[in-house]
Amino acid sequence: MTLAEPTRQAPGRDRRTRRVVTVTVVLSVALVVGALLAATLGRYPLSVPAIVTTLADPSAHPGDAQVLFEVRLVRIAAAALIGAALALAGAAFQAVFRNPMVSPDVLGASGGAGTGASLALLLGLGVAGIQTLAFVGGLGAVLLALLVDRLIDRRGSVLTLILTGLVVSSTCSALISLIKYVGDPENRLPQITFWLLGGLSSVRPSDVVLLGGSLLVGGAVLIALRWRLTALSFGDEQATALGVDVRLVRLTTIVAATLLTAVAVSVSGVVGWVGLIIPHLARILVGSDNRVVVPVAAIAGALFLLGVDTVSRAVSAIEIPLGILTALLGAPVFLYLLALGRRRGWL
Amino acid sequence: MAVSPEVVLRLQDVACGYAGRAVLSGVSLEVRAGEILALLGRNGAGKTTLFRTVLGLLPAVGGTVEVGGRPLDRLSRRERARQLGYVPQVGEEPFGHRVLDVVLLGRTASLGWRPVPGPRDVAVARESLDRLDIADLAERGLGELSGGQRQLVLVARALAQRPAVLMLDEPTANLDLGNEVRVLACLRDLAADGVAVVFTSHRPEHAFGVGSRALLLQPDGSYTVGPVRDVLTAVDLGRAYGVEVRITPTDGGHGPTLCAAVLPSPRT
Repeated sequence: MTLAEPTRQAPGRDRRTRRVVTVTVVLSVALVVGALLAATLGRYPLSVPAIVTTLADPSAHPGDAQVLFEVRLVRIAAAALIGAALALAGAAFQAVFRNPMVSPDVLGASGGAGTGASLALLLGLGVAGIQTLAFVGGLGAVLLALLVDRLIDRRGSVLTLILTGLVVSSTCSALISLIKYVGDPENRLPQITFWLLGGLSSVRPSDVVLLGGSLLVGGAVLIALRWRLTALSFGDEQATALGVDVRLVRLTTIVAATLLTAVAVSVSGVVGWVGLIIPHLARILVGSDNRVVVPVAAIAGALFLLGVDTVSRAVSAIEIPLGILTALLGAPVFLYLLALGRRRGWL
Repeated sequence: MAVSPEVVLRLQDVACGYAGRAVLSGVSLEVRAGEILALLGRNGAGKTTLFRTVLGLLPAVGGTVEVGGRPLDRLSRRERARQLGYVPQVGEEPFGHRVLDVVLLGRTASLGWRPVPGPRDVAVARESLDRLDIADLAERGLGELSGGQRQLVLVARALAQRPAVLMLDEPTANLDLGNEVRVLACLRDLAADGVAVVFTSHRPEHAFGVGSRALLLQPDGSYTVGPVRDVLTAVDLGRAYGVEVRITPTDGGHGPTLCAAVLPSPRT
């Protein structure tokens, strides 16, 4: 007996593998070249040869070295790390919730971080205080969503969790509005508004260390779980029957992805859309196998945010807030993906 | 005299249901390697509940389920997955996955600490596809396949778990006549290779066709289990489904046994 219709020749694993390798190499090369070009842009002129010379021997031109290492590379690294973190978290959340429309702040990470940061700004705390409260707020909001979900729905359905996340997010926006309302309109209010728009103009070397560390930990967890996430996409019941501890995998993924999101948002402010569209872009490029989607999304996210951040600081004398640019770019790209998805039948 | 094959699945006085309330109780049965057990009963009689309990997706309210001689509740998820292969109904799988990757998911329970399957797992997955004669579907996307092909892919995934018992939930639902009988033939062949097969169905004919034994659930919670022809009588089937049933062998008993319900007489 055979159910297989005689169809086109097996399209070949080789073609698929070649495509994955090509995409990965192209994106990686683009990231390195993009970083190099981004390093030349800014008020202090640095040519590519000057950068290469400085990288080879930092003592040759101390002025160049200072701009390159203390300003440009810090910002470039922060943009790339945040882009990678948000895209990884987005890919993970979309897999765990079996919903392609989900972004990394679905459980309230951005809302919580925004609330924390606004509170810190209202209290007049310094950068460290803002970041700490933003991180605590982001993590706290997600934990709250998980706790409420656990109390409401003991069977742990995905839908309840998304809805609890929505409630926590809206509550956070209400709190942010309240903080803005009581904030001093001359001083505090503009600061809060500016922070919420997102940006990397005040990023410090220590932030890069923080971002790198969280990406290393959170990324490793998500990379390790990516195969099990594919099993989860078939539903809890099938995943369980396949031998996957659904609850453990889901919770671990949420914690790792939330760590990535909370750290990123605490450094950059709210930068939307990256975690939503980049995983889709990765899937269009390499198919829906999480084994490749997850790492490819990370590289693509790094490249994307590096590009957007470079535009935000280099295109005009006044910096355009990062969150505004990602939203302006993200919305049409998302609509395009939506149309493509409907046509190809995966949405 | 041949030694009878080992018992791979044993239910002792099992009660099953939701939230501690038994829908069905006192179920005892044994399934041996190479046997095919058909599970029948009207909608709501508890087929699915019993099925889920045996798979360990639902805790038993009472009694014990033993798989491969060990109680189910003492087995880890991974150990269960290596004993019981679950084939769900076609229809809810996400699109876009490649067939080989879907079958590879069957290896998840055997990965241990490895994050992703390796070449040996791929070999097992390809072997499962080969066994069902669908090796040429390996590189296709799940979304491009017909219902019958998808059902076989899900069977292949369960086979890649290398289970002692294959559990299929209405494997022929939503299939056309040809695919229906092909899936049944595939179950028969797997049983001949020594796999124990348990499947639920709404069609007694499937049990007559390939079943070695049948379990028929009655609306009152009682049940009969035994050789197909002893359990699926016109009287008992009629009682189970609340209609009058005719059973007709064809070709002097060599052809398929037909089974149909009599249309109730029109209201006057």
